[in-house]
Amino acid sequence: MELTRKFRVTGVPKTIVNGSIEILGALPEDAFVRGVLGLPEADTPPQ
Amino acid sequence: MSLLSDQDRQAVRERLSDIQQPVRLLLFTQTIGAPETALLARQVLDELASLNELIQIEEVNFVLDRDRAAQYGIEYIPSIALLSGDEDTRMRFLGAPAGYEFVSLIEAVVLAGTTDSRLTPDSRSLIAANVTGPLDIQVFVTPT
Repeated sequence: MELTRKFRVTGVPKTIVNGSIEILGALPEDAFVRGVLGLPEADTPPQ
Repeated sequence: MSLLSDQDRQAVRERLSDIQQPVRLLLFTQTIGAPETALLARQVLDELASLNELIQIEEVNFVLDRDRAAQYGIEYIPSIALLSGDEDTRMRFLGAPAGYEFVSLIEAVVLAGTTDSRLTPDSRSLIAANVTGPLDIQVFVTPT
């Protein structure tokens, strides 16, 4: 409970990276890796 | 009494068959005043260890063995530290890995018992190019 209060977790899954970056929900691998690394999302190829 | 059905035990046994090297799970708990989740965590780990001989469980007393708790950065009980042989994988589980989190535990154990992260080449390239210091990744879940 201490950690959920500290990081204001109100829904799961919620990922915290180095105590600051927040990732909400379960993401595809590429989006999750980019989120963990603090990188922008990959461009979506034109349809 | 087993926590899993015979069918589930067989499915988990097959998943764990990928393990190639010993995996040690250190369960940090305490004898007196431990929460119910500590007992559940022990049952879950015992069940897992019964399905593959390369999985070993060691219970560490959080109160009496403060040095080891500090060594593995353990601040809460129950906590589980995963070791690949004697090497710390730096993966931790806080709380009882029950419900859907049992699947997460199985995958973590397989990861510790193999040498392949199963990340895509693109992910590996991104990580290699961008990680310049320690990353502390905490995933909050519920055991349901």
